[in-house]
Amino acid sequence: MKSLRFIHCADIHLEAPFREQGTGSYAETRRMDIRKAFLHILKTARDQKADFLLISGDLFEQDLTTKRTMEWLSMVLSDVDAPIFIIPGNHDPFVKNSWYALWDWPPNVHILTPQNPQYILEEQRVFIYGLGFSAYKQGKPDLSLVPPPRKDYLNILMVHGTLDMDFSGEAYQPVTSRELAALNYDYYALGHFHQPRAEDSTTSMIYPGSPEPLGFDESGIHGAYGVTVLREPSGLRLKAERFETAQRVYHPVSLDVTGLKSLEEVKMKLLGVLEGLNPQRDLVQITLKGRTAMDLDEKLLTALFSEDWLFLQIRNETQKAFDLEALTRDPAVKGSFVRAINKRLEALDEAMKMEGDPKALAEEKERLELALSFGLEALCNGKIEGWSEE
Amino acid sequence: MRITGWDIKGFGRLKQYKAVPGPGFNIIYAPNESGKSTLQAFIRAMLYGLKGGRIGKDGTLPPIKRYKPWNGENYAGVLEYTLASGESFRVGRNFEKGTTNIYDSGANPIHQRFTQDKSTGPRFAEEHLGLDEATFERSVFLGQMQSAVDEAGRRALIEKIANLNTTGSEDQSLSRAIGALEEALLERVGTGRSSTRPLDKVNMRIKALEEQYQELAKISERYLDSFRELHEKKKLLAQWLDEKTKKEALASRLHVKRLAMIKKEMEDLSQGLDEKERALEAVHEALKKAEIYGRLTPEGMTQAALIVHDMNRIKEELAQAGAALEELTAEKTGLEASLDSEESFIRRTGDIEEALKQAASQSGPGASGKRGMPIPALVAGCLTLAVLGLWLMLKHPLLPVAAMLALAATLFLWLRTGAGKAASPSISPQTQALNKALSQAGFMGLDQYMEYKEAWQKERVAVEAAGKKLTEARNRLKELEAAKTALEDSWRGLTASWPHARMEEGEAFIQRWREGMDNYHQLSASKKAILDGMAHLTDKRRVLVREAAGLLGKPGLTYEECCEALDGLDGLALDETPWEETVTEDELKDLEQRINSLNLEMAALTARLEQAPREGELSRILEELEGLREKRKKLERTGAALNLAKEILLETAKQVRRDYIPALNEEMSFFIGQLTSGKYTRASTNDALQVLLSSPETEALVPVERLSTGTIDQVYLAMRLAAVRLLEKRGEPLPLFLDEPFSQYDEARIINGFKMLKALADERQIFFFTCRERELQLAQKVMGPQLVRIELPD
Repeated sequence: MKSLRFIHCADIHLEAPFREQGTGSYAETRRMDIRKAFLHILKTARDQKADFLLISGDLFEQDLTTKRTMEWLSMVLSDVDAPIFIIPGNHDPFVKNSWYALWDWPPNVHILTPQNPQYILEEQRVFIYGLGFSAYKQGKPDLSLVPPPRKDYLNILMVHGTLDMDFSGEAYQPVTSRELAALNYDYYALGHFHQPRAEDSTTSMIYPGSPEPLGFDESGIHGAYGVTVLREPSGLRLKAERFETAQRVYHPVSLDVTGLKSLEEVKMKLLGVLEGLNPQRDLVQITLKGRTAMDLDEKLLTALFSEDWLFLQIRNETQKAFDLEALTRDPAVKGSFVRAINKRLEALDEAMKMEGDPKALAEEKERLELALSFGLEALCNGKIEGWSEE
Repeated sequence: MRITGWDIKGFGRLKQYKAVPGPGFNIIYAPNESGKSTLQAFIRAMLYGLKGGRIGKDGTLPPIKRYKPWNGENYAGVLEYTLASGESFRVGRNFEKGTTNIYDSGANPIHQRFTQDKSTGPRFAEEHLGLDEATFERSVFLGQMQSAVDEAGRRALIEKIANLNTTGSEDQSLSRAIGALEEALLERVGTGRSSTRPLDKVNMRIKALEEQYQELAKISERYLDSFRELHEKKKLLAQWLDEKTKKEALASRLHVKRLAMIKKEMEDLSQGLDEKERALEAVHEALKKAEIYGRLTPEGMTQAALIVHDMNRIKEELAQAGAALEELTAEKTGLEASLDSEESFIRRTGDIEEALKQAASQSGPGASGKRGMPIPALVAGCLTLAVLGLWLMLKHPLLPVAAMLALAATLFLWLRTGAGKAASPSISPQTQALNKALSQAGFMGLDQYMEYKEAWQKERVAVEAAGKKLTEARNRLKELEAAKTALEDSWRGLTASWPHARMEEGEAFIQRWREGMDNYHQLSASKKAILDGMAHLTDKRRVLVREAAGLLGKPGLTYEECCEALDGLDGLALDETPWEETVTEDELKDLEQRINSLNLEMAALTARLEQAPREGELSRILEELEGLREKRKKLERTGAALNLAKEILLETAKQVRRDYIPALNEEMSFFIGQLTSGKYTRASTNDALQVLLSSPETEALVPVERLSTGTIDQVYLAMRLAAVRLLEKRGEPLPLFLDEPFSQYDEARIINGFKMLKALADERQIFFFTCRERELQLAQKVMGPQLVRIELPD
C-alpha cells in the first residue's frame, strides 16, 4: 500500500501585531518574518512532495488582514501542487465577514467550516474532519457531531482549541486527549498553542506551535511537522518530524545583579549574556533582578548595547538593597514593617504551595516585594528615587 | 556588654592609646578636637568594622579612609569586652590589612564562628549585641542636643521625639515616609484625582487609541461589508449571466419560430393590402366620375334650391306684371284717344276763359262761388263717404246702394249749382264776349262749356292716373327683371365649377344633385375606410418588420429588406406546435437591465473598496496599545505597591504605637521623672501623633511643643534612654555613649541628669564625653567615687 506524507502547521498569524518596540520598522520586519516562515512550510510541502497540507487555525488575523494579504496568500497557496485544508481559528474565525467566506480561494484550498466540515481524498483514501471556530470565542465542541472514522482510510481530525487544560472562563474550545482518543481517529492535527507540543514522534496528537514565534513568551525553536503515514499490514504507522521555520529566536533573560557594586560590573554581566547571540537573528530581553544600591537606568543601558540589534531591551526590575535580616530585628516601625511584609510573603508562599492561582499569587508576591522596597526607602530616605516609569 | 579596655595602635588622630574604662560611669573630659568623636568611632569600628568604597559625590571619604592614621601609624587596634553572661572577648583589627581576630577568654581565635562580611569581616557584634551597626549607632550613641541652637534645631528635636513616639526611632518619620509614598504615587504614577501624571497620560493615550481603533475597526468592517456585498454580487452576476445565456439560446429558438410566424403574418397582410388596393382603385374610379359632386356642398345645394325657388316665383310675377302693363297701356291709350289734346283744349277754351275772367272781374265777389263746390254738394259728398265708411265697417248689403244714391245726389247738386249760375241772364258786354267765345268754340252755352271743361279735366285726370299706373307697372317689371338677373348671377356664382348646371331644370336638377352628392360622400367614406384599413395593415406590417428586424439583429430593415432577409433564412418553417418554455424580449431586456445595474453596483463597490483601510494602521495602533497597556500595568502595579506600602506602614505604625510606644513611655517615665525632679512623670502620644507630658502639679497634659528648650532636651534624652532599654530588653545591656548631652542644661538640670545617669550606671556602662569642666565637677560631685575619668592622649 502506498505511504502518505503530509505537512501539519498552525498558528501562522499573518499580519499579527508585535507589542515589543524594536529598532526601525521592527513590526514590519517581524510580519515579513511570519511570511517567510510560512513560505518555508509551503516550500517544504513542495520539496517533500507532500500529499496534502493541514493548517489548524489562526492562519491570519481576521481584523488586521487586508485584501493585499489575501492576494499574497492566494498566490502562494495556489503555488502548492497539493490540496490544502484549513480550519478557522479563534483569530480568523468563520464569522460574517470572514475572509474565508469573502475570498475566492484557489481551487486546491479547502476551508473546513461548520457548514462544510469534512473532505475526502478518495485517491489517497484520506478522510479529514475539521473543528474550527465560527466565533472569536467558542466553548466546548460537540464531539458527537464528529462522524466515526472511515474504514481503511487515514482519518484526520483537525481541531483548534485547548487540549487538557482547564481554562475556566477562557472559551477556546477545550477538549481532553481522552475525549479525542475516544473518537478513534488516526491523527489529530491541533492548533492554538504557540509552543510546539508532542509527546514523541509517534504520537497522534500534535500542536506544531507557531512557525514564527510571536513574543518573548514563545522562546525556543519554532516550526511545523512533516508526517509520514505508512500503511502496513498491521495498520497505519505514523511518524512525525518537526522542521524549523522560525526566522528569529526570542531570548528572555533574567539577570540578578545583587552584589554587583558598579555599573561596569553590570555591563560585564550583560556582555556575558549577549555573547554568542546573533544581533540580527536573536531577539533579546534582559530583565535585571535582585537588590542593588545602584540606580540602573534601563533606557541608558539599552541604548548602550542595542545599536546592532534588531531587538534588544534591558529592563530594570531591581529593588533597593536593604539588610532585611538586620531590619527584621529593628524594634521600631521599620522592623515592624519588614516583619509585617515578611509575614504576608510567608503566607503567600504557603498559598503558592497549595497551588492556588499561581499567576495571581506571583503578582501579589511581586507587589509585596515592591511595597517592601518602597516602604523602606520612604522610611530610610524620606523619598523614593531611582526609578522612572516614563 | 561592658568594654574592659582598648589599645589603639593608630586610628584617626589617636595612636598608641590604651585605656581601661570602669564598669559604670566613665567621663571623658577633653577639649574639642582632641579625639572624643574618634574614640567613639574606634569603638564602633572595632565592633562592626569599617566599610570601604569610593569617595562620595560630596567629597566624603569612605569610613576606611576617613580614619586612616595621620602619621602613618599602624591602622589597627584592640578592644576587649565582657558580656552579661560573663564571657569575655578580645577583638583585634588591622584596618590596613582588613584582618579581624577574635579571641575568647581562653585566648582561642573564634572569628571563624561568625558570619563573614566581605568588607567588614566576621559579624560577631550582631551576634553578641543583637543589633546591626546602624541600630547600635542609632541607639547607644547620643550626640549633642541641638534644640537650643536655633528654632530649626528645636523643631528637629521635637520631630525626633515625635518619631520616637510614633515609629520608635527618632530618624524614622512616619509622616515623612507616608508623604514620600503619596508623592511618589502622585508624581510617578497618578491618582484618581490627578490628570497629568504618567498613568493619566497613558490612560488618555490608551483611550484615544482605543477610539481610533474602534473607528478604524468600523471602517474595516464596512470595508469587509462592501467586500462581502461585492462577493455576493459577483455570484449573483455569474448566476444571471448564466440565466441570460440560457434565455438567449431559448430566445434564439423562439426567434426562429416567431420569424416564421411573422413571415406568415406579413404574407397575409400583403394579401389584405392588395385587396384593399383593388377596392381603392374601384372607389377611385367611381369618385372620379362623381368628382363634380365632390365640389358641391350641402349648403350650396340648399342655396341652389332657394335660387330655383325664387326664380320660379319671379318668373310668375314677371308674367303677371307683363300682362298688367299691357292692359294699362291699352287703357291709357284708350283714354288718350278720347281726350282732346291739351293744345286743342287750350285753343278752344282760351278765349272762353279770358272772357270768363273779364266777366268775373265785373260780377264781383259772387264769382267765387264758381270756383268751389256748393255747400249742398259737399254735404252730399260727405254723406256718401260716410255711407261707404259705414259699409266698410258693417258690411251691410244696403249700404252700397245708399252710397250710390248719396253720390248721385252729390253730383246733381254740384252740377245744378254751377249750371244755374252760368245760365243767369245778366247780359253784359263781357257776357256777350263770352257767349261769342263760346259760340266760336262750338259751345252752346256756358253750361256746355263747363260740362266740356269738366269732362276734359276728368278725363285728363284719368289719363294721368292710367299713366301713373303704367309707370308703376313698368317699374315693377324692371324690379322683377333685376331680381331675376341677381338670381341668375347667384346661380352662376354657385355653379361656376359645374358648367352643366341648368337652373331651368329646377327641382329635378336639385334632386339629381342631392343624389350625386350622397353617392359621392358614400364613395369618399368607402375610400377612407379602405385607406384606414390599409394604414392599419401597413402599421401592423411595420410592427412586424421591426420585430423581425429585431429578431434578426438587423434594426432599421425596410419591408422589402425584411422580406428578402426572411426569404433568405433556411429552415424557417412555420411551427404551430405550442412551446412549453418561453422567454420574452421584455424578460431578456429586464435581465439585461438587471445585469447592467448589477455591473454598475459592482463598479461602485469596487470604487468604494479602493478606499481600503491603510495597510498596517490597525496593527500599529494595536502595537502601541499593547505597549501602553503593559506600561499601564506596570504603573498600576507600582501604584498598587505604593498603596500597599502605605497601608502596611500605617498598619505597622499603629501596631508600634499599640505595642511599643506604651512600653517606651513607661520606660521614659522613669527617666523624665528623674530629669525633671518629678515635674513631669509620664509621656503619651495622642491620635494626632502629638507627644504629651503629664504634669502631676497641674494634672495637665502638656504638648512637647509648648515646653522650654531645656525640657525638650530632657524629654529627648529620656526617650533615647528608654528606647535603649526597650531595645536590649531580655538581651545584652548596652553601653551608652553620651556626647555633650547636657550642653544646653542649666546647673540644676545637669545635676538631675547626673543623678539619673548614676542610677543608670548601676545597670550599664556609660561613657560621658564633655569638654566642660563644670560638668566634670558636677559629675564628680554627684557620682563620687563611682566616677572613672578617662584621659585622652594629648
